[in-house]
Amino acid sequence: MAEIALVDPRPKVVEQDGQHLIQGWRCAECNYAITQEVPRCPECRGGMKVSYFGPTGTVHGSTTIRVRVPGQQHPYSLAYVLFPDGPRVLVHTPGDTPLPLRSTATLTGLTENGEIAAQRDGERV
Amino acid sequence: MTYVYGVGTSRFGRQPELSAPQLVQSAVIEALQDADIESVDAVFVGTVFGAPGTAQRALQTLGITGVPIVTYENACASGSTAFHEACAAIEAERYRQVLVLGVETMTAEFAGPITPTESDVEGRSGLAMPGIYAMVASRYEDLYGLDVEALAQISVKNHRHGVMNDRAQHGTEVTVQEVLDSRMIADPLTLLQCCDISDAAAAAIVGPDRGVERDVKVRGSVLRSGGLWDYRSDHPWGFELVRDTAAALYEQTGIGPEEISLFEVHDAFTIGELTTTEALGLAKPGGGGELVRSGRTTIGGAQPVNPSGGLLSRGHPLGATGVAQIAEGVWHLRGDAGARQVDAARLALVETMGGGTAGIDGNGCVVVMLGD
Repeated sequence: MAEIALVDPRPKVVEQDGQHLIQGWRCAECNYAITQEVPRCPECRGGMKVSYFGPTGTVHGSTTIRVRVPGQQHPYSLAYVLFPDGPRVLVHTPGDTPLPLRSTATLTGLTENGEIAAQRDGERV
Repeated sequence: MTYVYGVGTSRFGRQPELSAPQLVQSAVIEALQDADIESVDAVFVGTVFGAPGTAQRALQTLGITGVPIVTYENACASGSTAFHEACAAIEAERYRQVLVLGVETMTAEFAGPITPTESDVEGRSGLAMPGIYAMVASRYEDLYGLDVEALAQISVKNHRHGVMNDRAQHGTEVTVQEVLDSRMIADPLTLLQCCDISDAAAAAIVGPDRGVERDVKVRGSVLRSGGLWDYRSDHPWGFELVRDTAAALYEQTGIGPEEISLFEVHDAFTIGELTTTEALGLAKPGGGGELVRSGRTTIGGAQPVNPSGGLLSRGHPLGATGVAQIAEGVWHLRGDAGARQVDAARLALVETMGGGTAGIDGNGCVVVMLGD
């Protein structure tokens, strides 16, 4: 049976000068940042231009999932990472313990499953 | 002004042996008998995972055909959205008697936790609903600190309430220690802090004032969808949506939270009740833990929250939940709630919050006030 086509909604990760960055968009009028491609700014209806975020941000929320979820091997850990003056991005983090809140984390690329990956690299800020 | 003429529900639980039509039959027959009517002019339905035509297929077994039947999907708030829209239709004098129906057969759809659609970032990344609420707890911890024993106390309270509700899915008492020692699902939420999937239906009949003393007045109802929930918000997901929807209802009715006798709120996870009680104004931000610890929200306290047992004990069949919450409010306001009756109940507030994250603060939130 043919697989159902589904556009991957996860933000796009690019590599520049050895660093992994989120490719997103920023409003040319109001500076609003977003990781989804949109035809105009959801805030002010202004025009959007490509922008890059990362590689390092602050952990804004974190958890470890310990039950079976389709497409995932549990346990696995997730965090929302808040990039400076930029979007909040959901990432997978190593290990079976949530990253500490307000610690810093840096994008490390994609996992084998295509998940956006980041790891802790600093103390609480 | 709209009134609730009658309500009814099936039992709640994992009931794969019962079809959607069978669940609907028990809820609708009870509601029609309760309302003392034989027919309706229209049916407004809330269901999320039901197949197309679920409502029509079920209602034809009761001879409810020919009238407009419209299905609303608004995630966990689907049933209460149908209720809100039915009340609006009555106010607009489009219909005289509307059946509001919520139905869900979740054991046919899920073996584990609900996961948002894979077309959402959260769903595609494996952030199942327990994870979404675990992130709510994480944000709360960052802002105010997290009292895990107070979270567990919410589960203890709602399970205790559920013991008095013979329709509830999990009508057994649990202790704080049992809650904390139960299997970790998504840190910091343990199994007994998560609602179960459930199969059930709930129904309500609404219409204009017909001069029947037993009918319950709908004092107000507000439906909102979430705003952008992005890097500019420090709040836990969903907080601002519930807060703003409730504020609009308080403004609409001129009645504040301090005057409400009982609350039925969306406690899909313990942290959901904690943040919702704060968003509704029962406690200041950061004060939800002390609120439950004080006993104020327990039956016998000044303002019970989830006397039905809530989603944690009654179960959470998504489309049916909002209508079941309305039914619970109606029973208390009539003095028909049996062992769990809230004393001198005059006003009931129902809140349902629906949706994953996907960049917004929730798909929808409905807050309804019932009573005189």
